[in-house]
Parts: sequence; C-alpha cells; structure tokens
Amino acid sequence: MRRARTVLHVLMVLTIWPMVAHAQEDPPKKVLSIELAFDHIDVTSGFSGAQIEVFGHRRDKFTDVAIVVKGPEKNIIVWKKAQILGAWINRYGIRYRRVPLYYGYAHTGGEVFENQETMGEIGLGIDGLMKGKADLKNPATKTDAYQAALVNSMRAKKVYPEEPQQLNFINDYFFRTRFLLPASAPTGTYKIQSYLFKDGKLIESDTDTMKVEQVGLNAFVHESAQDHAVLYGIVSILLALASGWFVGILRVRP
Amino acid sequence: MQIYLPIAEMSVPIELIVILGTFVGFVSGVFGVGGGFLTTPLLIFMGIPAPVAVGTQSCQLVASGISGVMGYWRRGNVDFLIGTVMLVGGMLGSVVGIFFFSLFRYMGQIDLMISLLYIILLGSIGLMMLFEGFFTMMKKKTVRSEFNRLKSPPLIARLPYKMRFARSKLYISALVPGGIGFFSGFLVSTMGVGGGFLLVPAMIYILGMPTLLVAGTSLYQIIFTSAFAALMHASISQTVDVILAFWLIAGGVIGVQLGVLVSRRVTGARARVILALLVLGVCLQLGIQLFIEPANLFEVVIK
Repeated sequence: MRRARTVLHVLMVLTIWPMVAHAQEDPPKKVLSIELAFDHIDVTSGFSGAQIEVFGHRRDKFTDVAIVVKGPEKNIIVWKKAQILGAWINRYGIRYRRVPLYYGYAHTGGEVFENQETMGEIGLGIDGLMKGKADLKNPATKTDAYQAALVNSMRAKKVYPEEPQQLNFINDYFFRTRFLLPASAPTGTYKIQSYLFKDGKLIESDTDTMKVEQVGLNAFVHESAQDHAVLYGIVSILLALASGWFVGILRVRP
Repeated sequence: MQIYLPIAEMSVPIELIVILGTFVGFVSGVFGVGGGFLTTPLLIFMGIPAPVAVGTQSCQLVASGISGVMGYWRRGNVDFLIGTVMLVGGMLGSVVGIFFFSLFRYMGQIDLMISLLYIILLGSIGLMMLFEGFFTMMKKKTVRSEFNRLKSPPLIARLPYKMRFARSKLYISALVPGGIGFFSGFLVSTMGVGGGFLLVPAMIYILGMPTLLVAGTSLYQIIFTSAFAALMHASISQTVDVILAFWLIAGGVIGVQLGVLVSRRVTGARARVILALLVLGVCLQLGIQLFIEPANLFEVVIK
C-alpha cells in the first residue's frame, strides 16, 4: 500500500514537473525561425552539384525576411594586366579580404532592401557583400572594374548569383527557398544567416552552419594528403610505378 | 561522366582526362620525351589549378616513364650507366630549382616567369631541331654519321672526371651527362616538365649518343627525376591529386605503348621534325597568350 502511494507520487511529479519547468523558463519568442533540410552535403566521387534548402517561419506577417548563404572565406587578389615590352602581364593588384567562395541570397523584396546602407551593413546583395572588402592603401582608388572582374569570375563559376533567389511563401508565415551548389562549389563550412526587418529596422538575426564535405575515398585521399604528406607522396609514386610496370608487362610483345 | 578530384577540389569529365593521358602517353612513347610540356598547359586549360597540374603530372610521368622504358629495355636500348650519372645531376638540379621556384613565388609573377621560360626554351629548341631535322632529311644521310661529325667540341673534351660509357661507345667527362641531368632537374622543379624535349637533343648534340639509345635512356632518367619532384610537391605544397594521376596514367599507359610501337617505324630525322613542330606549336600558343591583348584584362587569384 505504502509502496503504491510512493509510485503515485513519483508519477505525479513526473507529470507536473515539465509543465512547471516550461512555465518558468519560457524563452522570449523569436519571430523568425529557419530550418535546413540537410545540415551537411556529402561530396562523393560522382558529385555533380547539390542544393541547400531552407525552410522558415515568421510569426509576424508584416515583416521583411532575408536569407544569406556564405561559403568558406578566402583572400582574393584581382590583377589587372598591362603591356610591358609587348607582353601582357599582371601589373596592378587589389587584394580583397575574406571573400566567401560561395554566395547566395534571398529576400522578401520590401523597401528596406533598396537601402544601400542597410544592405552594406549586413552584407546583403553583391554590392553589400563586397563593401569594405578591398584592402586599399589609398581609399580613393577606383575599384569598380576590379570588383566587377571578381564578381564576373565568380558568376562564371556559378558560385555567385545573377539575381536574388525567390522566397516562396506557402502562406503568410511559412516560406522556403533553395540555393544551388554547382559541382565546383568549395568544400568547408557554410553559414546560413537569417535577418528579420520590421518597419525598415533590423530586429532579429541568426546564423546556422552546415558542412559541405568530401566523403569516402575522396575524404580519405584529401585527409591523407594533408596529414601524412610525405607518406602520401611515397604511396602515390609507388602506385604510379606499380601501374606503369603492370601495363609494361601486359604489353603485347613485338 | 563527371568525376570529382579531391585535391583539385573540382569536377571534370573523366573521358577528357583519359584522352589527354593517352595523347600525351603516345607522344611520350614515340619521341622518348616525358610530355610534361603538353600535360601542364592542357590541364591548366581545362581549369585545373596550375600547382595541382604540375604536381600531379610529375607523378603521372613516373608511370608513363616506366612503361615506356620497359619497351626500350627489352630491346636493349637503354644506357643505364649514363642515365644514372644524369639522374644524380637531376636530383641536385631539383633541389636548386625548388629554391628558385619558392623565390619567384615569393616575389610574385611566377606565371609570367614560367611562360617566358617555356617560350624561350621551346622556341629555341624547336627551331634548332626543325632545321637540323630538315637538313638531315634533305641530305638523306644516315643519322649515325651526323652525330660523329658533331661529337666532342674541344671544351667538352678537356673536362676532367672522364668515364667510359661502353653501351653508348663514349669516353667523356661525367660532368657532361651530370650537367645535362642537373639542368633537367632544374626544369622539372621550376616549370613542371620532365625535360625530355631538352634531354633528347642535348644527348644527341652535346653527348653524341646514338639516337637508338637516347629515348630509352632519357625515359629512364625522367622516372627518377619526376618521382623526386612528385615527392617534393606532395610534401611541400600538397598538390599531387592521386585520383587525377590515376586516370591520366590509365590513358597514358595505353598511349605510351602505342607510341613505342610507332617509334620503330619513324626515322630519327623525321621524328625530330615532328617533335619540333609539336614543340613550336605549344610555344606559339604560349606566345599568343602573352603578347596578344587578352579579352579579359583581369585575373582573379584565390589565395
């Protein structure tokens, strides 16, 4: 009898506890929440591209939403050629710091996205992204042509978009969008940033990450080359020797 | 079919890589040159990063070299002694070359330096071989008599450390083949070429070796020099893509065997004229790229 009552107590506590705990720790409600369809993309031997799919929900339909995808960042030098003694060589260079090797963005297309300053602050849109990236000794240097060359080169590789992606709203609150990764997309950590604007002001932002990684044989080769470089070199040469020798033996005798 | 390359970090059509390997292997088998002067520009043209192209093809040269040398070896057309003296020089040359390569890279403009080196070397060698080849063909002399006439200029005859190379019927200072090897090793590490296009004429004109032995012996030397360079590239800059190398080798081993078969039907002078035209073609292409105003004046380099 005593035992049965103890069990009952425990059951009651277990049932009520979560409710109490929930009431106590209720976090401030976020207006915007997003979710990725996949949190990693595997780059296999037959990798021919993939897509990053983002689902989202906003609690307030009178807001503007922007989603930005940034691949791993590297420094980039843009060279302009000039003729010296008849030969066209790289003469003038401008360095751009921490440029993402993949970039994609989508937004609801409100008035706020026409404000260049806002776009520059959060790095939205190609111009916003490139703002302040150039490493200049003289800030008055004209860089338009250099930046255009960089962006065109990225667009040719399909890693920068021509235009923003659409945010597809299922109703006033739920939306989804997808960003295409070409086969040449760089591997590494991708940042998916979300921004929420209300009355032209940024009120919420959040960052998710996802990995684009080589898997299987590719990953093994990549890691071996990085972590055991000398051994990798020796094994490569031995493989080359062995395959060359093998075919030499198979050769039809004259 | 697309294949992803783990070190180059990009997708390429597998057929294109195999065809490229076969073509270069064929050239390698016919002329006894490594074919690096073709592989490097063609891989870069396909969009593969230049360091990966250079590193990988040095590994590929090992395979096409060994299957190529076996064909000559069976027929006894390799002078191992003179080849070994050359490769000792080649190792030293590689070390010096890697030092210079790093220096140019530090100063920037390594691309320009490589282009100019290619144009100067390929241009002068191509022209020299072309004229000599035509000259020989016109006179309808045997190749052998041509070399006896050119053999041993006075300066070379006076050098010390003379060695007897019985297979090549030469009595010559070890510094001469060693020096040729040194230069070849220097080219491997600074330009990413096996150096066969330079070795073959150097062995014919400077050493005065019989043509029959030249292709096999230079392939033998190239195996070791390129293996050494591949090891350097793999351990210093991690630019050897073993997957890319595998498919290049697969194509190359087929091509090189076909080339060895064909090489027996091509006379020395005619082979040299064809090789000269090939070398001049690559030289011209590089010259056009350097001296004609490019459509895109900008170059984007990811560090």
